[in-house]
Amino acid sequence: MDDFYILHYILITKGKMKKILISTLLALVIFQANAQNTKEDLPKNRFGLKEVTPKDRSQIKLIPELQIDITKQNKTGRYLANKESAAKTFIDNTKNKFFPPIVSQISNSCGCASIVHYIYTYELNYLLNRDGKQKDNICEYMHIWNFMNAGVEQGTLPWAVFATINDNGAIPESIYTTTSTTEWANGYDKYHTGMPYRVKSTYKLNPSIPGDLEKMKQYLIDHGNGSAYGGLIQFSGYAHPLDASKYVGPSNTNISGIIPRFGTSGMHSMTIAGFDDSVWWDYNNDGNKDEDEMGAFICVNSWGTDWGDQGKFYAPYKTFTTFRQGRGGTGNGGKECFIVVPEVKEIKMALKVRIKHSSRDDLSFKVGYANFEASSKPSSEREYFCMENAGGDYRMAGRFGIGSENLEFGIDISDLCDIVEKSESPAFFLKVTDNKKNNEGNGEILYCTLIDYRNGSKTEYIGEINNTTLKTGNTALVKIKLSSSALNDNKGTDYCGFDATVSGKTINIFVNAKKDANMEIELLNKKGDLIAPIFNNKITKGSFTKCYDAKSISEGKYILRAITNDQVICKTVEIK
Amino acid sequence: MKKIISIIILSSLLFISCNKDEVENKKTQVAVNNIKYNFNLPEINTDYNITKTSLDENFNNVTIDIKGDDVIINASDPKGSDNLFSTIALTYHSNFYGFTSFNVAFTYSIKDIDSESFIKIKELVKKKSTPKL
Repeated sequence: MDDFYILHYILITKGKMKKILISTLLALVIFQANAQNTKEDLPKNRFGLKEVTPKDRSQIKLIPELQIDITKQNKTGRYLANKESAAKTFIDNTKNKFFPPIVSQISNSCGCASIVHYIYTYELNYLLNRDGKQKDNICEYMHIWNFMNAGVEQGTLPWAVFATINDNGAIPESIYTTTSTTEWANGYDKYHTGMPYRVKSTYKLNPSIPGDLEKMKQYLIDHGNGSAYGGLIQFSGYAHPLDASKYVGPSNTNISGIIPRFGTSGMHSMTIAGFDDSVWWDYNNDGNKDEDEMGAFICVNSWGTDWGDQGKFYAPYKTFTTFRQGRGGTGNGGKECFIVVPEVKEIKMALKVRIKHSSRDDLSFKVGYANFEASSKPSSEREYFCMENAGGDYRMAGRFGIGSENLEFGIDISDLCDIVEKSESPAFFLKVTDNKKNNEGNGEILYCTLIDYRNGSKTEYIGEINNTTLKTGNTALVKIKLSSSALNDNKGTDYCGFDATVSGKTINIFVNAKKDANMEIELLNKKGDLIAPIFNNKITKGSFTKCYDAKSISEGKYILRAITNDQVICKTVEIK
Repeated sequence: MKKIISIIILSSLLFISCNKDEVENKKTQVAVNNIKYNFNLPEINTDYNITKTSLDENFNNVTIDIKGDDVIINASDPKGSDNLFSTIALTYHSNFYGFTSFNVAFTYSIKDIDSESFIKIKELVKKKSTPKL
């Protein structure tokens, strides 16, 4: 680019307009050609980890080091949690039932592909003793990444991935999967399914610090606590170029690909799934098994099964301990590797929210509570991190698709429920603030309900929205009281709960079905004449929400009528 | 003239005959599983007093309970043996501006109703529960 400006300057000073134009065009062509060459040189859609800045180092400092009891240290220096692991010189956790299939990451999603798809999935399956090959037991990494990529497919950092999982959970692939880089999962039930799966703790280990390499190996053997199965570890490294060499040397784990040196650019997140002390790479070509040439981690990439040995490769310990980042070594502003420990939380309360908006990154969210339902605002509130000014300048549900302006999602507020547990009449709040980030958008909160799962039941309460409109500078507040009649709930019976709200020209119908039924919903005018059939279908046990676009209906009062085989409900609604 | 009068009389007789099922003894009837039953769901009005009076005509035990903005009416012990519904429970809700909703749940006095009968029942339920604002 500098060359372009110099050339431009020289020609301008000579005052020859024609030459200037020709030279400018020439310079542009050269510049474009260079840019294309650079792109072509890089493997397409393969990286995606942000480079750690000095400022980011403060985040790493907050992550505690993994502590393994050193009193169990044996003669070789291995920190042993049990006697059996004393003899272990290799382990491959990809062979464990908890390990998911090899993935081919979409775009720059490596941080989520390694952490969510491999590590979090594996550790959750270990915790729950589940089979990692089943879609029910694989966490959808794109669901997490699409909250983090700013809608422009930007990379992530490991601790941000942990925080996003912890904020609202991880949805299994059997419930939701996407190849879109902007789509957010649409539907409360999807979010609710993922909500229990959160992060209990995260740890770091630095293999360049004496002793930590052994701790990593111990963690791979038995989680460092004597468990029957070991864990997985995240690491970062440059992956351009990253061509696995053929490996035919000594091995106990029979992997045929090795990366003796990592690349010089393109920060990438990968997974350590085992180790093999017998692997030897003759770095100095002297034919001797020098001590620093022995041993390698078994690593897993996210470039599909065509890459490496079925997606796996050896990375010699030396690349973690000795070689510097950019000179064959791993690392991202430091050599730290990360560990995540999942937990399964009980969901006591959650908000079900539907928002329509044309530019989702304008929006930020807070949830809060007050001990008294008469309060008009929360006495305490916290951020809902994962959707905060997130997802880029797109409609609520993403860039493409019919109805993508309209997103229904869930927010776990069980933590707030715990705080106000002793309060007799608490109120809960959702605050949505609209501040222009890129292009100005606008929209509205269509509805917000609170679902209370305590005592094994499921009761839904409709929130009162003080101002449904979302536009720049506006904050909408939703208040939900637990004393309000819950969805016309018919509590203690097996009859349907039914309620409706109107937001602008949208009629939102809430059904809480206690059993399977055939339901017919109609809109009638004041005289009782049919204006529009809205729904006529079989419903299954559970709650669902139907939004009816009443744009073609003139203003005025109407009656919504719902009929099942043993119930009829009529409710007045007003379209303004 | 005689012919015209005869046609009118004949037409009236036919009309009455056709609607006999629904108006016999001022009670609506419906064939369920090919057996005729008294369709003892009252006209449900936005005024709960009128609905309650109508329920009294069909049930021996009708209670009304007013709780804040909610009015709950329960009806059981139907009069006669050919009534379709054995219990009916209604909840009316109103606010400062008046009626806002009602919710009616009913149990049947017979079991295993076929799907065709449910279609007929639903049509009658619609007719009986069309509030006018």
